Amino acid sequence: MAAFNPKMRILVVDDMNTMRKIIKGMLQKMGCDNISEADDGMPAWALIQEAHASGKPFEFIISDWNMPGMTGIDLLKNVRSKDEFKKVPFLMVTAEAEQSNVVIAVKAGVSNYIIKPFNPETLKSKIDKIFVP
Amino acid sequence: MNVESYVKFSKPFIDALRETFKVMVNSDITAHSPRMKSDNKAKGEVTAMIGMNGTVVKDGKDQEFNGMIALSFRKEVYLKIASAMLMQEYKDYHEDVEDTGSEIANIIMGNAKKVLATQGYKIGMSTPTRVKGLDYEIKYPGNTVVIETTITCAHGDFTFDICYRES
Repeated sequence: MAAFNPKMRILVVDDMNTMRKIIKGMLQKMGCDNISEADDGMPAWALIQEAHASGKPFEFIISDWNMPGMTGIDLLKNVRSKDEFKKVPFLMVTAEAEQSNVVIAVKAGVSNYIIKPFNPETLKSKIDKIFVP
Repeated sequence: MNVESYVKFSKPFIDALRETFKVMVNSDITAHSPRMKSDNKAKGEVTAMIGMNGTVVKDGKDQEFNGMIALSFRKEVYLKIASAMLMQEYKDYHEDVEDTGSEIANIIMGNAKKVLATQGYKIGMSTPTRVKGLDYEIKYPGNTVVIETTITCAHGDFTFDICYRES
C-alpha cells in the first residue's frame, strides 16, 4: 500500500452530522482537503460509483457501521464485490466494541477498524497502519 | 432490580460516559449520587435517548429485559460540549450539532454493551433519538424504574438517566 497522501480523495460516511464533522475536522488537521461526505451507505455507494465513472475515484473510505439504510458492513461488501474497488482502503468506525464485530468486518475485507470514542491521535495511528509504505 | 444489581448494571454506562468525555470532550466527569426519578420530565432543553432490549442469563435461564438511557442538557451546556467535541465554537443550535447528544448516547450504549456481554447480557440497541424543549415528557419503557444521576463536566452539569426492567 502506498503511503498516506493527505491530498487523496476521501469519502466519510456516517448518518450522524456530528461524527462526520468530527472525522472531517481530524482529517483536515492532518492536511486533508479533498473530503466528501455521505449520510448513509446507499448514497455513499452511489457516490463511489459516480466518482469512479468520472475518473476521480475515492482513494480512501471511512464509514460508520450502524446506519439506518445501508450499513457500513453492507457498503464494505458492495465495495469489495467489484474488482475496481477491491483495493480501496476502507476504515470502519463503530461504537460497538465487541470482538465478534471485528471478526465480521475482517472477513468482509476491512482495512482497519476504529472504535468510538477516539481522538485525532488514534485516528491517525489507525490510518498509518493502513497506509504502510 | 435491587441496589446491588443496579450498581453492577449501571457501572459500564457511567464508565463509558467517563471515557467518552475524556477522549472526545477533553473533560473529566463526576457522577453524583444516583436517585430514583419521580417524574418523566427532561431536565434540560436537549435530550438524547437510546433504547435497549435483549436477554440476560439468570439462574441458567434467559430472562428478557428492556430499558433506555437518556442524557438531558441545558442549551448552554450542550453547546459547550458540542463545541469541544467538534473543535469549533457553536453559540446557537446548528445542524452540525443537532445530533451530538445522540452520538454521545450511541457511543455510551455501544461501549457498555461490550462490558455487559461479559455479564451475560445480549443487548440490542435502538437508533438514538433526540428532542428539544424544556419539560419534555420522556417516554420511558413501561413499568421501568428510572435512576437519575447528575453529571458534572468541565462545561457544566447535565443529567443521565438509566432505566431497566426484566420481564
